[in-house]
Amino acid sequence: MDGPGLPLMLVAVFAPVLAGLATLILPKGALGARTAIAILGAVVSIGALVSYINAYGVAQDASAVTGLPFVPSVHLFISFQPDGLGLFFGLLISGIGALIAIYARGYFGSDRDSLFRFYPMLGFFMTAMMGIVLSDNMLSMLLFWEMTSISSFLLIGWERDNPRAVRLAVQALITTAMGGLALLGGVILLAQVSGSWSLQGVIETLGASHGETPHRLLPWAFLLVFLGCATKSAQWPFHFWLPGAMAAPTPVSAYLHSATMVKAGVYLFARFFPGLHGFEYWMPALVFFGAVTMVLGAYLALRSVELKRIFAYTTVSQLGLLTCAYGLGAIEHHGELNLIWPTTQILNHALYKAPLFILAGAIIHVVGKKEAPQLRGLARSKPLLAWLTLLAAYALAGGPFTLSFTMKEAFLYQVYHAAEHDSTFWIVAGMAVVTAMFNVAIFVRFVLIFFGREASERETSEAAQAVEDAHGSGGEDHAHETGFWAMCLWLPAAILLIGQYLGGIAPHLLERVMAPFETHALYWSHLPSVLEAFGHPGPPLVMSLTAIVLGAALGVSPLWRRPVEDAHNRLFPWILRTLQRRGGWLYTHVLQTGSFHMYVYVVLTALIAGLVYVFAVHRDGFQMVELEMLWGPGAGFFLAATSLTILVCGSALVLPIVRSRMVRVLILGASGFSVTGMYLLYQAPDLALTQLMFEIISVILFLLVLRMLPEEPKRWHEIDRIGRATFGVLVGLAVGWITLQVGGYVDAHPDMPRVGDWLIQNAHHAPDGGRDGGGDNVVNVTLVDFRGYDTLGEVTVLAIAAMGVFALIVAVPASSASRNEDVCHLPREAYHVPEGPQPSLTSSLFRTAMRLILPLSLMFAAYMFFKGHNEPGGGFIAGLVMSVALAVYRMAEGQRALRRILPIKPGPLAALGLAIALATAVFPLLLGDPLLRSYQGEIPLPGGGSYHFASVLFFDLGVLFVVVAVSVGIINRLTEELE
Amino acid sequence: MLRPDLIVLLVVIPMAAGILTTLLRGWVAVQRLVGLFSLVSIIFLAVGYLLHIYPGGVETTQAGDWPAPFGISIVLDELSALLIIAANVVGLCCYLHAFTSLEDKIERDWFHPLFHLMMMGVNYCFITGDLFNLFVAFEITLMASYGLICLGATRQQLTQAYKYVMLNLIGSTFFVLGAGLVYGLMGTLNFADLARLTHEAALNGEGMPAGFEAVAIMLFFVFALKAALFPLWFWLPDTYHTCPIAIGALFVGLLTKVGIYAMLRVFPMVFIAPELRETSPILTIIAVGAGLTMILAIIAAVAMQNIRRILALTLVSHIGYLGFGIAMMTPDGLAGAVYYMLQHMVVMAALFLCCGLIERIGGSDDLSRVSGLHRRAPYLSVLFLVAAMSLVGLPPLSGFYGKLLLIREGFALVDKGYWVLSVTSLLTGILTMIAMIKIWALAFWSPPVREAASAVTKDTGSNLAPAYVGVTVLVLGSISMALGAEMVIGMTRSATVYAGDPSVYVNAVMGNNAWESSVIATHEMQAPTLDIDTIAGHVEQPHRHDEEVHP
Repeated sequence: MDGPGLPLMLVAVFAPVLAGLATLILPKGALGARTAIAILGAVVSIGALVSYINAYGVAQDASAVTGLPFVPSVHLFISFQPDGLGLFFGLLISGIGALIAIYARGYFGSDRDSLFRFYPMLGFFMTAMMGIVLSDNMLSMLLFWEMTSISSFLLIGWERDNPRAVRLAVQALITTAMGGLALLGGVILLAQVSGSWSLQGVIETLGASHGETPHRLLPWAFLLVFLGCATKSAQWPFHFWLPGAMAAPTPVSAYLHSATMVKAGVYLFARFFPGLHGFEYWMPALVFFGAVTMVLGAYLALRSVELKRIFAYTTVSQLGLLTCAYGLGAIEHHGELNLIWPTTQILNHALYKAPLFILAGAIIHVVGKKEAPQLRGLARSKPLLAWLTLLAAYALAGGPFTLSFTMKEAFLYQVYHAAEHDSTFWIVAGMAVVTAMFNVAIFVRFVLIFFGREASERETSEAAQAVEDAHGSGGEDHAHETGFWAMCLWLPAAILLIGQYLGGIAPHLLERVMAPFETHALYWSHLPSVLEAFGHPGPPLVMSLTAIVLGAALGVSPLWRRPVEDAHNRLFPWILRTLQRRGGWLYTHVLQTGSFHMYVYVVLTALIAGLVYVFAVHRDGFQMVELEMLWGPGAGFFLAATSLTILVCGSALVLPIVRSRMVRVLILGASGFSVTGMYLLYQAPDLALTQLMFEIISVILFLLVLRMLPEEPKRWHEIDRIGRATFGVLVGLAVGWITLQVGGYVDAHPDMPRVGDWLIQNAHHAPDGGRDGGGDNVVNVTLVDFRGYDTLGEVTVLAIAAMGVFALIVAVPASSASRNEDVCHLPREAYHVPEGPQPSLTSSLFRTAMRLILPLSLMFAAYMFFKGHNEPGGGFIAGLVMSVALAVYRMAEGQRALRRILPIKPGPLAALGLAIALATAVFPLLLGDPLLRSYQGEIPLPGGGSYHFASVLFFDLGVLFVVVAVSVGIINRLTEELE
Repeated sequence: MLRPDLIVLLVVIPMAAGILTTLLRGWVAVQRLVGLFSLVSIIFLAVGYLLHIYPGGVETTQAGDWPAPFGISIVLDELSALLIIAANVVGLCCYLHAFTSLEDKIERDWFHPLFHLMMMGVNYCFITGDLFNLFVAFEITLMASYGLICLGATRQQLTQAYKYVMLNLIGSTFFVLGAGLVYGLMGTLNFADLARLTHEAALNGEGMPAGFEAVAIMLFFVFALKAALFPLWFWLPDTYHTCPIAIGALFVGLLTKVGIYAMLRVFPMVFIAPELRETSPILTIIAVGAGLTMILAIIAAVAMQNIRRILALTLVSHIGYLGFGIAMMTPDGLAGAVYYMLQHMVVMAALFLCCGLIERIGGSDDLSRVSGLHRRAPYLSVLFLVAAMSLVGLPPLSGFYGKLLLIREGFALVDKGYWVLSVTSLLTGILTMIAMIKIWALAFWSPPVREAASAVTKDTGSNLAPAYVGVTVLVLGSISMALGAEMVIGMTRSATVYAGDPSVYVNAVMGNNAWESSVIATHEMQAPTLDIDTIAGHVEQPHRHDEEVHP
């Protein structure tokens, strides 16, 4: 991690994106400056790499790794390993990047908007790519890897308004991102297998363990990494995205989709080769997929007509060849690995494929035609472009005196060596020959077209029209340039072609450049020239020449001239469609069926299933509950308890079966009152009183609401009713069973320490002489003091409930005037209002009685409130009593009368109550005490004696206000609505 | 200044804001000011406390000054503080967004009080140290959400709200029942006390009482219902589809996370306490639920045509990641889950708010009717892309780190079968990518649909600035979580230490030697075995001890 040259590496990686961002600052018109800065970014990158090599040389071991921690806790370091492979790729990327920056200026011409958008993305991409090849940390490599996917996506979808481009961009992104995620999984597994997150570390560990039984996760790691590389490098069956990516502007295609990004997968193969070549699946996987891709790509290239598509398929083919080469490399031949000048092989591809794309773009730009057959006679009309293209295509064909020829020879030697070991590889040899044959045929077809008879004017325009129709307006109608910028269209190609032919004619010059970067040059001590190859004839030379002859024949023959569509192109749309259909099905059938009953069934079934599962797993943890424990103190108690239980259970059982809503409300009431009885039985008067008041209020509420509901559904399915009842019983049994378990445990452990015991002991007088609750009524002391914080929350809940009701009901009268269709407001007719004169709620007897009862009830409530701390009562119960009284009074006397006694609106009243409670709670904070600390003292009363005062009284007052506001408010609103 | 007993301000301030805004109904401008003040001050307060207690500290106060476990403990540890910060940032942004996206009538109605009381409930939930109090917190949050979800009261909205309310009522019923049963079994409700008792019982070799795990399942059911895990997720997808978008975004950010938080808080300390982890069947249930949640919901998401539905289903799916982390219950798993939870709150809310802007500018959330927004709203498209890619988990954006921690841990626990969840996570990742890119490609790219464009141009005239500010803050939040990933992961690691070793938490709440005393008791018990081992020359003893401490 502390190798030298970190600043240089950082500059090399990040200069392009900084330059790209810098172009954004320039005014849109400054085209020259924009281009210059973009080129500068790439050039600075090259400069940094070159000075690194000058200063530190090309390292071959881990000592050179250098970096910065980024997120060390997940082992993410921005660290670099400037070894031969990395530096070679870095130079390739930044070198071609600089040329593409020039080319883009020629290609886009003076189209300001395009250049404005293009350069930042180019810089972003270049940085990402440099990051991939120079990173040592696998996660940082992955980070840059995903950056290339995104930038590629944004560039393929260059024409935002063209649905086809968008679709293809999506396809490319999803395919490569899928690979990226697989790679993430692979990287994680590799780290687990080898214990290191550094590529160097992983490769060393894996390389050292050759021959041993591999870690059992290694196959999976390899599978995932292979998936990542295969998708990125467009190996069959994932190759379909690459020709699709040709929707991007040509500079992008030339850079991303031929020379750099698609090589990222190959780069990783090269990177992992030393560590993984001994792994048993390495060779078969790479050779198989590589060879298939190689042949398929070449064949499809021959059967394509669109220039960029032809070259895209040859790229696919070439990537297959590179993969295959790394696969074959794993075979040992005379004690050495069968890998011949692989890095130069990669360079070779860039040296003819990038020019081909650049020239394709130039031709499309200048001539305006996209398809090869439309270019007849190009050698006469645009001789320069035509000749350059032919030179590049000659390299594609691997003709003698090109670097390609030599490298094809190298590849054929690899295949030949493999075949010497195992004759199955003759199949691969055959595939290699066929591939080479197709490439030659493509070259021959180009020659025939370029020198062919020029198409008549009419034909040309028709063809052009066809292209227009097929692909929309296209993005190729850019402003044309003259002078130097026009030269930019072909100059970069020419520069690259010089390199290509230099390698063919004077290999020793290229060899001197490449030797330091070459990882496996040993087998061939130097790069042979064509003459040397002919000087030492062997089977590979025979294969090569056969391919040339056959290819030439195929080229001139009329065979396979009609374009075909790659069947794989339908793969991705099909997958997407299927996914959508399945997803839609899932949504409507599993996720959101819309049936509320089903939701409840499923949810409760899940609960029961969970309980059953626990029971199945831990059967011995449970016990049969001894029912004697439930008998209680005596026979009388037993009798009362049993009858109440029967009442509660019976009413619960009847509930799902009964039809009428009114009856159900009454049954619910019966159940509730029985529970009240239970509280009394267990000597809990507070709870009983609360429950009683609550039952009264809820019955009132129910009755009010029932009147507003639409008519009950006429028919109920019998099965539905029985199902509900059965299911209910099932849930009840399950829950009851757990409760019994717990109850049994409680009874079996009577001396278990419980918080409740402490509360009872400390409510009035602390046994240890400490602070106490200062009240005899444990329930109230618990509510307002021990657990006052709960109560603070609960009153808030109450207040919120009221707000919700107010918000909901207010909406209705406001809209009843306008009768907005959208607003949930039931039509009047739907109300269950009987015909004829309404029976009045307010008989005079009732009214008179209420006038008497109201003051009494209010006094009772006040008594409850003040005595609450020591005797049954308290703010909550007092509030409920008061609410019941006020509600009934409201019904008797009407709203105006209520307004007279209770002049404040329920909303503000609830807020006031909350405010009082909150203030009481917060006050101790001012004194430095915790929230809700209570204070108490004696207040002397006039008639002798004293009132034991506790500050919690204020808290209770707040509770009372909220309870009154909520219950009276809601009942008032509902009654209002009815009236 | 930051007195421990002042942590209650995290609840008191939003409650006061709720009360004030109730009293100020009608004066929208003042309500907004009060609300903003409340949210911002909470954020500052929580950040202050977090810096104060980090690393490893716990602030605690006892309500009513009654010693734990007799009163109610209020506890702020790093987990709480982190979640409160995230929740309130999300809240603030949704609040800002609501200024433009909410109809005047709705905002005038009860929006402000309900909003702040919901924030109160969320904060209340994050700092309580007591099981029944947690129930109260749930109730506050839920009740406020019932109110919020009905605001506006269209028929469709109420239909969905009904389901939402009813399903959550089922949950509440079982929660209160479960809390009662826990009290029956353990005699206490205080988290720290429960943890101490579980620890003691395990050390004494008593084993937990019968029904302990059944009660645990019941509580898990409640929390999972809240968190919308499979198959308890029905309430979620359509609910978010119908309510006003700012409220939907708020729910997205907070409601499900409250359920996850409850799991994170209660289970590692009590029901799946370190000593019970090997035998507990609950982890398996969580794992299965999490896996199915992840994959099923995201497949459905890919098929949807409405942005809101896609987002809601993606949200559900990613809850599965949180379940994944909890199911592993290892330091890295939990840290990953917490990190993911924080980023998920922020990013999901950002996406929903983006969706709100899409609806405003494009006129609809239906992907067949919105398109070409990249030209009309270039800034929005950048915001959306960053948020969407964070969600997908593309490095170096925030979603990546959480996902990395989880997947890595899953592969590390390959023997326990968690690799299945890791693979599911990867698949979910790619499907999320498809879902997000679908929105992007159709809504932002693609040629503009003419009729939609003309139908809504009048709407873009209104002031969208607060909405944009809201989304921008969230996106910046997610970016800063990515840039500061080291710090945030460090915090989440420290925040989940309690899961492996609750001693700090327990001691902070219960007084200084509550945990140690039980440890001493067991040391005495285990002394003979230790001796035998040392005599036998077992050199790996310390190593084994290590493993026990960090399972």
